[in-house]
Amino acid sequence: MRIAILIVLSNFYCFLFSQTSGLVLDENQYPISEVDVYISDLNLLIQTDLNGEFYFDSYIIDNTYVQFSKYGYSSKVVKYQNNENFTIILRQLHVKLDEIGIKESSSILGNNKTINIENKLLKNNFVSSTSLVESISRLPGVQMISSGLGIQKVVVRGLSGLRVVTFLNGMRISNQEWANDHGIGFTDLGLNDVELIKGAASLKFGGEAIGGVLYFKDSPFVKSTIPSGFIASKFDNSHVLFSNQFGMNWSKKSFFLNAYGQHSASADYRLPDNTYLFNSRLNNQSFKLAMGILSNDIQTIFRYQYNADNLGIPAHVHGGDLTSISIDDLTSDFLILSEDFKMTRPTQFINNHLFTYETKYRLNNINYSFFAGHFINNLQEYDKWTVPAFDMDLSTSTFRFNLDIPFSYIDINTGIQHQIQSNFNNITDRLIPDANTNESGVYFIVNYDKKKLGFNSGLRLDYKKIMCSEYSFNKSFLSFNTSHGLFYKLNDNVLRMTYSSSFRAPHLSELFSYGLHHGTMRFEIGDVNLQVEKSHQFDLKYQWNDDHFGFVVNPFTQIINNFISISPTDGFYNSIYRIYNYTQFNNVQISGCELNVHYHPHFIHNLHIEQSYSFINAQNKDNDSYISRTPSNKIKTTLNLDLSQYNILLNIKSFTIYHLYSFAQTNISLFEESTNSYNVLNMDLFLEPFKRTTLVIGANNILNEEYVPHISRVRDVAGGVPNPGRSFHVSLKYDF
Amino acid sequence: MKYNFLLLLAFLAIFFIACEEDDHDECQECHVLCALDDGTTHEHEIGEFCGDDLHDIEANGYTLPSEMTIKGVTYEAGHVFAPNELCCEAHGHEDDHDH
Repeated sequence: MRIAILIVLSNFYCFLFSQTSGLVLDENQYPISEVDVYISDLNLLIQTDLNGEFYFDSYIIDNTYVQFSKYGYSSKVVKYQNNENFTIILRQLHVKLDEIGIKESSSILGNNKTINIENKLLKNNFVSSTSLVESISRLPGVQMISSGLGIQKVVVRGLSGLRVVTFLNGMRISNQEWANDHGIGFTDLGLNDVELIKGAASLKFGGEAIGGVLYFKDSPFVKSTIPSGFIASKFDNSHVLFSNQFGMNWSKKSFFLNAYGQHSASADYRLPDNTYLFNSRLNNQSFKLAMGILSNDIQTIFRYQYNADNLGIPAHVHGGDLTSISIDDLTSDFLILSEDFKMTRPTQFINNHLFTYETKYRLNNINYSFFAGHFINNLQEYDKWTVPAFDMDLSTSTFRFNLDIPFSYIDINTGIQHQIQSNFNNITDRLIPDANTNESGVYFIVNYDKKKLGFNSGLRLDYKKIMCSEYSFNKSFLSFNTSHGLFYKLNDNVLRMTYSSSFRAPHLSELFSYGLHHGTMRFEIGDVNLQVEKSHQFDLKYQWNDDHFGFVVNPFTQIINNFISISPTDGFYNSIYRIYNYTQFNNVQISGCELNVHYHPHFIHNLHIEQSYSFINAQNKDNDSYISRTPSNKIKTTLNLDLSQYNILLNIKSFTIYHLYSFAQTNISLFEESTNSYNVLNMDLFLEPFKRTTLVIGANNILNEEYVPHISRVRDVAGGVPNPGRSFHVSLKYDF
Repeated sequence: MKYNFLLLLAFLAIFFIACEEDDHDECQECHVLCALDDGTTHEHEIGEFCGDDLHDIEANGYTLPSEMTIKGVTYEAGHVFAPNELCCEAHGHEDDHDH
């Protein structure tokens, strides 16, 4: 007992009086201030002072990953060693390549050297972008399905819904994501960044992620003994969007607290012809709380997030021939602001509660982590005023235990995961039945990383059991995922190769759907005999860069067997709504290439030009036809003029032009119409008119182009309902 | 610090005042949906329904009080239009003239 007390006291003593410090310098040995020092194992962010020094009240354990980053400098990830001098040299960059996957960073999804992981910062997304999904869709190979700001979801290399698995702080977001009218389920509130793996290469999180994994991370804790935070507001005139956010950080000794809130409301969005898409309105309230105790050996974090969305479902018609509908029947000639923020019909009411608990413990250089999460999603879809079309509760509980054993060059990651999911209908009308799903997974991943050469190899086994008494269905599915990656660096050349295979068991909606789905305006029928979907993906990524120019070539091909699809039939329900059946194709092949070019002209040091090309071809090899709703090929260009070193009017920091060229999509399936090419041009001006104040003024779709993306939710109605016309937005953020 | 705190409080006050509840007008114009031979759907107005009456027809359907002819098809008195053959949705605001 005495010994135990002594150990506890000695740990306490270490905690009180130990301190870790370090220094960050540039290549000329000058200190760099305001460098973000992110201690990834602690989820803690600190900054260097004017002398380039940083301090942390506790000691950092050996082999902890510490990431150093500052805009304009190369990022660096180091493994902390207590007996070494903690001085970091950051190289000043001419080319900032953070958007195209060259940046070195610590990743939750895996080793970003051996796996093709893209990372996008989101911490200023609220002021710099109209929405979270729009911002992510600027990444190459990423698109979005949308009908205005309300319903938006991510498409990765042509795949979406159940095939693109979304995680938020370690918890899989299961929010009836099988349908195109069910959006992402949260906003950018309190988010720091998103990591993306295209395809099934993430084994730790990637069971069933045939299309990819999106992993959203909250902002780290900040050492701040007096409360710090921000308040921000945004207005967009084409949606008449008003949005407000606040955030607060506080810490005392080893206790850390982050709290955030958001309220957004928009009316119907304006089309290029100055009419308004009726019922494209939204209303959102979000709240988020994170509490952490970050001590020497053990870190515990509890998070709660609430997100409530009231979303209008626009372009709603009562079946029949959708192309014969006139767009005049779907639009308003003008807005009445006293009415058009209120919810009408049809509408989705979505309430999400997310609780997560994670604890990390380190002993003898082995990292133990335990995660428990509970997610409750209530989705009500009202076609009528007083009677919901469906009202479902989907609750998901996840438990995950992970062991990370780092050696000098090898890192072993292994763990088990169990998930319990329950779908419950609160009313008798239903589209999918009450059902329970139990899922267990085990994975083992080995990473080898030694300067120029690295590899990654892993296995994952998932067992899924679906029980549905209504259909006397009790069936188990076994899926086996593997991923193998190779990394080689020679001077400025970097080559990555990845092979990944994954299996996805059919979902409740695909097995049991039977009913009218007003959100998609179709009668959907599942098939209880669907088999496991199997995918094999080959991904090659070559990149090269010097001080002024960088490029990335990323070809890929994916073969999917037993591809589950929903296909129209020639039948109608009640002679009004077309009947769609879930069906399975034997062999689907998706192939394409993503290219990135980043150029920084030597004679204009402040100008950065970044361009990406995404080409994709998706074919059903059974009958040599194309897969419906394959995104069109795209060229995305960003010009960023950095003016921060000049003191121009109102302290202009930067000026950004974004241009999107979408090719016509003529590779279409049997019942599909082709879509035309289009150009979208956006501009943004970033200012800092007062200390700690950020002002963003911008315009989207400046050319007022009338365009309908090929994967738009409302493409089939009235010959295609266009996206918003020209819009202006202004955002203001004050940090305190 | 005090200034920051007051600023945050003021912001929060505006923030929560803005979170007003969604209140619906309980009276709605309703239509029956009739599928036509040409593949289109005709919406035939059956009047305004409020409160319990609105709930009743949305939950149980609409029973024709008298014979009605819609686009050449005659429906006998007592014919029941099922809930999914009814719609009481609002529509966009239209100018007086065609656009």
